[in-house]
Amino acid sequence: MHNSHPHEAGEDASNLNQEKSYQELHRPSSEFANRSDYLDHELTIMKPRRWKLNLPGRDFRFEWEDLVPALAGTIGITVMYSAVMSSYAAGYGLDANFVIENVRVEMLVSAILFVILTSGFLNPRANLAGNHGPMIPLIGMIAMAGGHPLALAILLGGFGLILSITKGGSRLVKLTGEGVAGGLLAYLGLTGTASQINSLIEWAGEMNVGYVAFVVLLVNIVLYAYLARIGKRWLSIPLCSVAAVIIALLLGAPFEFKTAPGLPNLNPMYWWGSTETGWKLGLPNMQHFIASLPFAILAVAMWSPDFLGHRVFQELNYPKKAKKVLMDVDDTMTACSIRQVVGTAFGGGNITSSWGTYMIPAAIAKRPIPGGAILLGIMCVVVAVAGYPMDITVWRPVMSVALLVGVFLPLLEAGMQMVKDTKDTQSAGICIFASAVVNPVFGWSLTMLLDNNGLIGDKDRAKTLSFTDKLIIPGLAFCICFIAMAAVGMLPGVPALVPAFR
Amino acid sequence: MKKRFILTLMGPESPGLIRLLAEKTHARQGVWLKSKISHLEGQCAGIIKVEVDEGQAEPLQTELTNITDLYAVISEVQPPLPVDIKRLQLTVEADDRPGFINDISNILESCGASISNMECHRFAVTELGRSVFKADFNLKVPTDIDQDSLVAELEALNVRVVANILAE
Repeated sequence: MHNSHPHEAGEDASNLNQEKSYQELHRPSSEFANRSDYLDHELTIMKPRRWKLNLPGRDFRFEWEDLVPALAGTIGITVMYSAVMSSYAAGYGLDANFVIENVRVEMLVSAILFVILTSGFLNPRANLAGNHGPMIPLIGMIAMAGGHPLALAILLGGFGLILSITKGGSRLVKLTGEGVAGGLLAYLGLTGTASQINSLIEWAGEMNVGYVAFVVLLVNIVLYAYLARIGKRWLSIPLCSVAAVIIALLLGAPFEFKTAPGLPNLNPMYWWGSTETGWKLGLPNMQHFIASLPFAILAVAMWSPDFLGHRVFQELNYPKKAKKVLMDVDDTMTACSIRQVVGTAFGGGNITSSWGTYMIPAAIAKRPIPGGAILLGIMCVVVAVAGYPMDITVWRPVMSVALLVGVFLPLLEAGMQMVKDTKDTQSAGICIFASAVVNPVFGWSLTMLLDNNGLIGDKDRAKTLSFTDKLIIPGLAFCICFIAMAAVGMLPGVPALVPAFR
Repeated sequence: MKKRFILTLMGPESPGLIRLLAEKTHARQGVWLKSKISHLEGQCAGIIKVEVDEGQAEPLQTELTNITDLYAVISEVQPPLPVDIKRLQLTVEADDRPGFINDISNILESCGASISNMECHRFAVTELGRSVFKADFNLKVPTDIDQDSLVAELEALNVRVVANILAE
């Protein structure tokens, strides 16, 4: 009798598993010693089809655990969309109805076309296209600089598609050193934190309940610290938001439901075709594109590290053999680029990126992308149509607390963690300095050029970079951003080069 | 042709002993490649790796072992056996922590691997306020290296590490 070597037997079984379908390899959870083993097994047998139809039952299943990322993602995105639209509304002088209706547009379009259809059915290896948290503090600057959301979306979508087709994302990762990246994140986190705390205190003062802001913040500092201590930071948006609602209501802060169930206007011409309706900006012209260009360059430069962070985190949480369910960075970039242009064409103002408030809980819950994506998409549609939940997310205590604990404080901490060595602190400090002088686009592009040429920061790193990575790309990025900012008058004290912007 | 040997010495501490050894080596155009000398309670002990022309090796060894009051032993250094090498691509992903690259380098060195190219990146997971680490290595390793052990050693470094050998 022939006894095969155990290693060979393992390889044979593995090869056999490669040939069998998910349906054939699926085993009920009752056959496993515990739930974790079952979820691990599910992750190792799935074979998502890229840009082909994936079906529940045949290619994936729904499990209770899918509700974890679906709920966390729905709460997170509703708050973030509300924050983006509120910032745009403040910048362009639009009212609260605009905010609610525009959030509804984003929730519906992105949920149906991109969350459910793209990541759920057509390519479960593309992570969901969500919101680009680090860009939220820049929304006000975009509006003030004369930027146009549609111009920004077209530029960002175009750059993203070029990167995904040319696989240029890995080059972008090399370009920004850790000191510069850390400084940029720390600056965005710090300015966002300060702005939200000020907004909350100001709101409480206007409502004649000044003490509410302090108590809400105090309780959330303790809650946030506790969640960090027990390693459950990803629960901070839902838990801290609930805490903010309860405390603010108990202390007498005024709140009322205003939004009735309904559907938003999905006609692009309503949003962009006139200066009387929607955004009241009309279609973008060349000046709008010039003003939006520096922000589009920064947003796309931050995409690759954002995507790769999610991908590595997912891999660290999944069993080692679960290679086929890991998010594909290029597919995610393609989906985000298309979603950016299509979502904004329908009227939405969101700036997209890989959806972290979905991916992080999904990875922790050991669930793949599609099941949770479909549930999340359905929840987003329900929220958008019902309308009432958005009254809560745009309520100042909830919005400020959710942004503080879910976006800006983690951003600040991540930035500080990136800067560990003395050589990196120098680049980070100069990036923060330059960002404060003009804006983060100026800070990033200038310090990247200096850092990559060894003039600041890690001189050894500069020696490892090619001429293109040292001078050509950072030099071009800086020149384009600088000229565009000078043209529209973003340089402090310097009149705009283009007379129309003066 | 150069020859290398190890001189192990022990004896009473005396001023100028080390200078004497160095002068004798220098006179024969030899060099010390590595040395460790310790002094304790009036005694001196040391170990020195010497490189010298083959023709000068024997006279130098004789001179060094004939120094009065010094107990000296010569050990020949065998030239390293030629080892067949192959190339490997290794990726390591982990939760970021200080000193992690150093720890990886130590493990690779202990396995006889030399790093031809290394690219390390840290990515912020902004939702969690922390960073993750990814490194890609091009390695030259002995052909008989135990790849499974190498991966296992790397994955024991952190609470969460995924190491993969991509190609040979």
